[in-house]
Amino acid sequence: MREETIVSDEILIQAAFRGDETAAAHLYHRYADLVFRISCRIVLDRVLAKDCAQDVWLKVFRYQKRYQAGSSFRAWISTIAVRSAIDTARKRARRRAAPMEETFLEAPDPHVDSIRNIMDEEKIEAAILAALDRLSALQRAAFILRHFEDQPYAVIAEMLECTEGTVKTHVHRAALALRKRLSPFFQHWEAGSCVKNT
Amino acid sequence: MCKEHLTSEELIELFYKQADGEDFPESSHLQFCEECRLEYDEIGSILRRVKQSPAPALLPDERVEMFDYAWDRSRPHWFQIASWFRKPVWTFGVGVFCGILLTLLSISGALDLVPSAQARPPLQYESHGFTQTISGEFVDSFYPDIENPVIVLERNRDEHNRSHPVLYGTTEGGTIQIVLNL
Repeated sequence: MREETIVSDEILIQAAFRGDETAAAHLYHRYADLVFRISCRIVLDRVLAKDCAQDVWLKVFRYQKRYQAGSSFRAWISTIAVRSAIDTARKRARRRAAPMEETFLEAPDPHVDSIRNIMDEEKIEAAILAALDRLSALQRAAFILRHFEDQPYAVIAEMLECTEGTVKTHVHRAALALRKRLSPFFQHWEAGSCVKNT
Repeated sequence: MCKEHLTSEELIELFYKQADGEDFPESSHLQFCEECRLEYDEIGSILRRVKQSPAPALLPDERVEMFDYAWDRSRPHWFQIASWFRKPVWTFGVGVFCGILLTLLSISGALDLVPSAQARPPLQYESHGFTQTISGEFVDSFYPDIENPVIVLERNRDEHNRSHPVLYGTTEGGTIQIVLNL
């Protein structure tokens, strides 16, 4: 762990380029979660996201000389991951006739026992996934990078090859769509917090 | 009563600005506009709840498997190198390079592709009855002043009709140069 904080990404990628498997493994373990997280949240299918993340690493190891020394490796690999995930998500959307079912959109009852509440949490999670699934791949990517990865608009714009204004529009539309689809649960959360307080 | 409310976009932007710890001029609006504050609270609740969704993570086995797959596949194997040459641009490039190389070698004389018309075998032996003929480059080297020399060994008969071998040299034109009675 100590070594991971000392050795820079740039040194690791240069060593990996020379065929050093240990350096490549260090680099991989440093960013494996990030790549998978981005892929999974954009693709919304664990199996496809795994294939997508695998392809990202293959591209990184195979085309590592395209990495510009001095630039952020994190930004570079995130860009590859985002673009690959958008492609995969678009292919998935074309193959699939209908988006995720939303039969669970019936708002859960806050005045029930804890086991039921766990089930309600699962319903909410499923509703969030379904709401994210309704977004376009580009909207979802922009929203996920802003909302979950806390990336600034300028960085997201570079990753998605568009303007900051376009990114803001994608994020706003995504947030509004989520609000529209998840607002039935809003009362539940508010009521839940009231119950806890009383 | 507030006349101008914040738009949904502005409220969303305010949420992210506050999350980043940045100042947003419109935030003071929420202090006196209850309608906007309620809407902001609703947007904030939903977005905060969405952010609480558990982050997807790789299982330990999947993590190792993924690295092994990507690393092994990324190494240049000999068959991958060979496959580069199957690409049209490589085939064309290699063809052009070989053509230029052969032309240059041929022009410089380093590569004698066309055999000389004068070229002869090192040693050629022919036999017709009692006559044996030897020619070729080996014989040429012994008689450099004679054009295409031939050494002939044959049996001649003298005035008493006795047979005896004769060794002589001749040119292709038939001019006898050397005669040795053996």
